[in-house]
Amino acid sequence: MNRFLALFLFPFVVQAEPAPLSHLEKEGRLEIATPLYTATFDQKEGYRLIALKDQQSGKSTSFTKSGLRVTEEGEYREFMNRWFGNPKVHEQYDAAVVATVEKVSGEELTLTLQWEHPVGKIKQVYRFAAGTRQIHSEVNFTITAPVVEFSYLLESPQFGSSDGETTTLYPDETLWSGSSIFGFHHRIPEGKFLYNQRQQNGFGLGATATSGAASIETFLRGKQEGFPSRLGRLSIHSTTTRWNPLPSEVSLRFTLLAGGTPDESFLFSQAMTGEDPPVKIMEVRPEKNLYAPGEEAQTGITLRNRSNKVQNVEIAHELISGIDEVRSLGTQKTTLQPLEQKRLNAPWNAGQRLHGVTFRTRLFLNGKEIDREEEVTSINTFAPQPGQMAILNPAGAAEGSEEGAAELHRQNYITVLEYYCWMPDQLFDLTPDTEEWHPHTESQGAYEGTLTRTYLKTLSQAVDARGIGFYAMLSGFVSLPNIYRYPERMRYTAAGQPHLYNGAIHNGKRYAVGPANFFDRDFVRDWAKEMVASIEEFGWKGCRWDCNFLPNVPSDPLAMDATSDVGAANLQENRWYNFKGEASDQLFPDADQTGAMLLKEWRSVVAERYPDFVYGTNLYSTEEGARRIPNYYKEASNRSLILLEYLLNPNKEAYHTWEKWAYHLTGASQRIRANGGQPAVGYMRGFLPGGVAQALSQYLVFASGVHWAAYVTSSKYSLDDSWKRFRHAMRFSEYFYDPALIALNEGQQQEVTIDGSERILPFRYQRKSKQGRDIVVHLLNRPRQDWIVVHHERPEVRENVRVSIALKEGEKVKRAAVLLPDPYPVGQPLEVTLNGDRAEVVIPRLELLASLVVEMVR
Amino acid sequence: MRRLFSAISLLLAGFLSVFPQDARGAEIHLDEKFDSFNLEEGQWNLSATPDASQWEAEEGHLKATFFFKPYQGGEISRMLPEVSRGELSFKVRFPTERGYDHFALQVKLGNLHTAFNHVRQHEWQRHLPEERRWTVLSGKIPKGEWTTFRIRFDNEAGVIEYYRDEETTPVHIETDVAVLPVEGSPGLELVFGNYGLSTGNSGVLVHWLDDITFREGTAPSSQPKATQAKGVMIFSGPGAEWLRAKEIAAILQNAEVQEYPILNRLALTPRNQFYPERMPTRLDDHPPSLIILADAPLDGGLPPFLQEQLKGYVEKGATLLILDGLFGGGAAIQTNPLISLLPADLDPGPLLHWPEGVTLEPGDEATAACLANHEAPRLFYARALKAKEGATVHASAQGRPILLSQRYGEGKVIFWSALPCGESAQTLLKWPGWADLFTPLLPNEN
Repeated sequence: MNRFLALFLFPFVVQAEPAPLSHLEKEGRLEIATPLYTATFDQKEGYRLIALKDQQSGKSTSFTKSGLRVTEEGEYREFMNRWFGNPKVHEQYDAAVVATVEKVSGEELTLTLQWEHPVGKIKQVYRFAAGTRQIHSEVNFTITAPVVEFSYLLESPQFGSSDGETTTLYPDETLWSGSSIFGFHHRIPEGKFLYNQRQQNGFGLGATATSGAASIETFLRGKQEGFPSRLGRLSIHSTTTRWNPLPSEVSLRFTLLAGGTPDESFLFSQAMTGEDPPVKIMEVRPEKNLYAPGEEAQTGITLRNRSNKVQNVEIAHELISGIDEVRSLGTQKTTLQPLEQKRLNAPWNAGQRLHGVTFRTRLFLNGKEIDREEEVTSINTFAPQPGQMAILNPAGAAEGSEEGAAELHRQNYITVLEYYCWMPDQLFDLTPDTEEWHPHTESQGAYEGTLTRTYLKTLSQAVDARGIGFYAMLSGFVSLPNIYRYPERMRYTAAGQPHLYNGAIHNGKRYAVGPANFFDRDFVRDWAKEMVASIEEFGWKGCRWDCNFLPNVPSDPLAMDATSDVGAANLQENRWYNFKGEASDQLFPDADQTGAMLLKEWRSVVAERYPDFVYGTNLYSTEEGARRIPNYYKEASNRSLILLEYLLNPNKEAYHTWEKWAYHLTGASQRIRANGGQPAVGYMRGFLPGGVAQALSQYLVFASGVHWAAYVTSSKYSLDDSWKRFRHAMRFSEYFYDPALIALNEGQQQEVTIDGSERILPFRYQRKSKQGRDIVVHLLNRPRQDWIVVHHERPEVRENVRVSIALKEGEKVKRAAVLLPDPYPVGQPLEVTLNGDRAEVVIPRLELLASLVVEMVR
Repeated sequence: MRRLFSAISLLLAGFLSVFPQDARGAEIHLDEKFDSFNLEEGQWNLSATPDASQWEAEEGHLKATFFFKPYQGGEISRMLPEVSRGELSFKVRFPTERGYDHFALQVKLGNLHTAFNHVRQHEWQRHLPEERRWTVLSGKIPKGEWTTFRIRFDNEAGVIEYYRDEETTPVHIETDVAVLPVEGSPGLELVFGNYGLSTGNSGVLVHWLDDITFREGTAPSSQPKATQAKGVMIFSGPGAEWLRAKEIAAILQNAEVQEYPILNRLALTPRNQFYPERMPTRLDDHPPSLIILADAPLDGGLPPFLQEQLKGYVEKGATLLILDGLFGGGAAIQTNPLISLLPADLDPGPLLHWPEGVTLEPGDEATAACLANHEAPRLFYARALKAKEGATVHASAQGRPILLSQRYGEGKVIFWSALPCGESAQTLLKWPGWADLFTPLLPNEN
């Protein structure tokens, strides 16, 4: 039966003569039977739904996890000198739930569940009707303590690909595994349906536009992807309740689909979304996060006909660059069958205008615009510049999950993805000979991992297809077997042993690594050639070092801040010996020159074969650090990606307020950008999603000219709204990350003054242009508390923030605009008034971040 | 004042002496099974608010529910008599939740303070108050399953030993220490508490405890494995894999082999941080027949008190075989107690390196017989050394002693100085004559 036929048959199914509804409580279980299905609830586990059985086929879907889950707000109210912990989660199955069954009529029955958590009271009502598979549910929640969200979950081990048991997600009609343990969220209204093709059973979950839901999460994984079991999950998530006054009443309405066929699922989805507008743009998806200038590009447009009629529509595309430069990309016409979801490809050329762009599609029906959707991508020659940075490691390395993992990062506007801990040896073996291997790096001091060549290559391709640079992590350590194989290559302790950085025994196998004595040109060239071979094998687009070529400092750059200078005490701490017993400071009296020369050599050998390969490194970038190693610093930051790991901890006294952290980040950023590099701070972790601390930290990092580097764990539309801020930073990367933006020094601060709250933290930059100069000011609206890692209330919205800019002789303002992140990144023009030799603009509204751009000409 | 406390301790000991004795005659002062447990009826004292921790018997165990309450997580305690030798034993099942990230369960006995920390790899740690720091007793403590922990101490010997599960070898040993009542306490106060620094995903961490026993005396509560005369101890360092110590140990048929891996922790600067994962007990005397140091780093890897212990075994007749490696010899060995046992003086300078390789040559009839049966291996690296007077050179290479031995006390010390480096790693790993080479030198007790 196809979905169009279902349009005609399904109403008859719905209207079939109803049989009486019944319920039965036995052996701790409550069964509610309708003519179409039986729903079973477990009394011992808070009356959570544990099974749905189809009355006709007799097939049953079981749920190993289900029910309501409440996530308590877990941010510390006071400064604790530590990162946030995990939020508390309150599960329905742990609660003492009281159930009441009531027959409303012969055709309708309700199940009412009531319970309490430490954060409030919950009442949930399920409504069962005789002639439909749809089970409506309403949750009323009296919140008495801070809660960030609550969700309803159905998780079944019968779904997910495994040995031919393919599960398809409807109405998308796609099979896409999750990325290891994370699913994908979709906007509401929506109805999703998981269907096992072989077993011919399924279940659905959906919510309407007025349901109080924010998203529906879909998740699939299976044995085929290397996971120990299959798992299919649908969950409805509430809009955030983080800012609700206490106590407050909130409700969430959603609908379950108890079995049925894929054809019925289209009608289910339609019942959730409604038909206004009849055709909707479901997604505008440029294939890549980063395009090269002039590259032929494609954007996928997904349309869904939500009506029962054939629809002829027209779509028009445009590209918006800079602040508001619009380029038309043409139109397309198409016809959609009733309930059809169709994907079209819109070809376009990236052009030569660099930085972030918005691809916008408008949908016309009978000449009238009925919907529009847009997405941000970027055009650049240097991947670290427009987007943010992320990391992956073998923990999620399951074949089959590569597409999901890559898509998760695309959705978060990542342009650099580092693969951490992947090689059998970081110097001697970047090209493993076997299909499967165990990485042997410093991370094996903590855990053991397994990787396959197929996985790494497939992931590389999936990432590359999305315009994300796939970077290899290198920390320059030699694995234990090669310490024995190449003892001359090691650095020795005063006790005559090779220096071991760390190690452990896992499953009887010993892992240990040590820093190499790689301080000679020939060896450096060999190592670089091994990198070239690895690029050929795995398609790396760059690398990120966690080591350095400086002979007399610790191998791990993070430890460099423990070294004060090349003074005697410090040297003693760091002195090592070569195989012959000669001391490092005697061998390399000028560590800076040696390091710079060797790094240049390594980079040039790789660049000879791959000129666009990006070098990245973790680097201690304080003013004093840069002064200590001027030549090495210059070479390391020369058009590089620089990770500022030493700045990742805003609990440290040196960085623990917004102002202090901004000072250090901006200083490092300016030093790095002077050499064409792009800094990233990371790996940021421990911020709880959706709060002010996370949002402002990200904005602060962008405003400082630094990229956020983190593990990406959440998809678009989830509680973690980092993606929105990453989108804004990409769209206006020109104004956050252009190396030509020079921070105004202390003496120049009065040239740009801000008349507003003292809680506004300004970041002032100027950039020379052909006609004159641009002033860029990022305004960050700080909350009341200065500590970074602490719970913050949303700061008071600032209105009419006046910014005054001193004009130089002969200078005129060409135009001014403010860049705002919500709800979509947008540049709005501002009026400029002259006040003597100063130009003034008023920013009407500042929530968390607003960026002022003033272009001036002579 | 001190005398008064001792008197009270004696009174308490007298009162508590009604407790039964175990099979080895040790007096049992506490044997808590939690089949029935009532804080009000028992001798446990509760000092905890319900929002800090909750303690109750459930299904025959003690259920300890911990909340995040920094340093004020609450505890239960009871008084035990002061004894000069004793053993505390307890079982714990730790929560499996993610987010279990810092100190949670703490266990104190008198002045001895230990706790479990999950910052790194879920470690059992001991607080050293005078040094104001924590030291790791054992790592990778499992979660979600029962684990037994034992603390044995002998104040006269100044030894505290820490054990896990039913293992007969301690995971950590301290010397020059004593388990004593804290000042002002009439006996040894036993405390189980919530440090309050950990949060689970749900904000609640449930620990299960059981079988808490405290017995007087140091008779082992579980019988050691190495009871046979032919016990073999292998101390294995980083290069042990290539030195095939277990194959040599197998020469002593039916010998009980106990391996003591030497591990290394994070070392940012060139100072290796070795530590033994386990050590042989000092409280039971089970001298081995053979001790093998397979690339075992002496500095840090084998603490001086352990080296003295091994030295004592050799003096009394054990054979010590040192298989040199990159970490087991060199300058590191020079300042350690075992140096006096070596049959050679080691050159602290660079290793000998033969890029083309050299052949192992026999120095006596037994080695010649071995090399007649197995093609002599090629060697590429060796420790530079000079044989001591009275030492026997059993094999050499290009005139350099490679395999030497010498009597020491009633025992013997054997030294193999060729390192499994470069091509030697594979050559020695695959050489079929390896065990045969050592057979004539080992104790003949078959």
